[in-house]
Amino acid sequence: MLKSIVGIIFITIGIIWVEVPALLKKKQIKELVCFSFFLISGVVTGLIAAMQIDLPNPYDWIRVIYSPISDWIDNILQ
Amino acid sequence: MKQIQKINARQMTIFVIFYFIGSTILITPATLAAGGKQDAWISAIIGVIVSLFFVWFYTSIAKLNPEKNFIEYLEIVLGKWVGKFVSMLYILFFILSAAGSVWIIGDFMTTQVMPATPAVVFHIAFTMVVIFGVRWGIEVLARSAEIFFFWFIVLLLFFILFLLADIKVENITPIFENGFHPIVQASLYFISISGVTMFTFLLILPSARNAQSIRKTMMIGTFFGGMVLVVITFLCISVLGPTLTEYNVYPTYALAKKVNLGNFLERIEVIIAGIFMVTIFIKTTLYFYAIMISLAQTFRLKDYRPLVFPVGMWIVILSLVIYPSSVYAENWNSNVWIPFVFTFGFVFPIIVWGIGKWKARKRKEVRN
Repeated sequence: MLKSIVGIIFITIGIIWVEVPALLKKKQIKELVCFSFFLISGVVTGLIAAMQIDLPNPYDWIRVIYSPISDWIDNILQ
Repeated sequence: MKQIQKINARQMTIFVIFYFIGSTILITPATLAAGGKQDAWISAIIGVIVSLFFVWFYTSIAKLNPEKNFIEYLEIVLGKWVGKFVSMLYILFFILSAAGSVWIIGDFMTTQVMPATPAVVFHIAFTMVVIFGVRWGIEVLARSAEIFFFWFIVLLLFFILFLLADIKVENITPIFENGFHPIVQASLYFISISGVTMFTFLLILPSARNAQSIRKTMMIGTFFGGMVLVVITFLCISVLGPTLTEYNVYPTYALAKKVNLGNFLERIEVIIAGIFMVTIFIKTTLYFYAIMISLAQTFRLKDYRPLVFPVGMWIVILSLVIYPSSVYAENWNSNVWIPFVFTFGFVFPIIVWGIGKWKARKRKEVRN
């Protein structure tokens, strides 16, 4: 657990090290905002996962959305 | 975003072949055999024919506006805000699909090849390769695909030649025992995973150097890839038999274990596994590239490369979350995946195509 948390933090520092200076130099603010959004959300979710807390599964939500249609398809195919 | 890096027709064909074979080569023989039993190879043929129709449809969308990618076209056709909303749904779809492909590699490696290693290692290692592929751009990817293609063909020919002696005709007879219905039903999953996902090429086609011949390129690639899948399914059924094919999670790999040349050349299945490593790699990378193109288009970014690492991180996380177990995966794939992919690969494209055609006609009327 601790190992993965440290690992995630190291990877994050590495990614910032590689990408951010170039972005600032070229003054690509929109890219920087997008980059930060994905990185911060990714790191937070990654850390939650590393603490072995169960993450919600997006496929469960999609299943709920599509359940009327998939039931209907099941009926047709049977 | 302008797609500056260009690839030629041969490279595009190789992309189409690899993408079409994708993860299908690994899992569909089992699904086809579950429905079609000994006629699974006929289901595969039906699947390829229907997929060709889908590809024909996608190229006619691409031909409406050859320089613009599909996400750009969405915004033109549906208006700015509806278009952006649908683009976000597409981004979500691509991220989930890429994560699904990574999961397949992880599951395959942990259940078949290296059971003692945790799956997350394979997920991270595989995603790293994909990340570098996408960061270097489509041109580099196309050239590496060309190099892979030679080995792919060599391995595939070896695979087929070594197994020819093991074909048992009694495994594929009687043909049409259960009638036509289950055969068509079984081909539906094949179409959903190979044919309908071909719409990803609507985002990659603007990188093609010669826009005139895209239909020919795509059709040839799909046909060739489809033939490979038909042959593999046929070999699975005729060598392993329908029951073993159905109950193996990865029948193609089980088939590779059968390769035995005079009790001397055997256990070469991991080398054969190189075939599906390459095809799944290309499929995942093209999904990833599609995410990048869509993101850059939706948020008007000049360069997608800074986003590759964070999105790659998301793919690793999602690949660990979306399928808690293989049972869940099988259940989800057979129930939800088909309507899910048809929404993106059929419903939205047909709406966009219809409105696009109508607008083009209206423009012509105004001009006259």
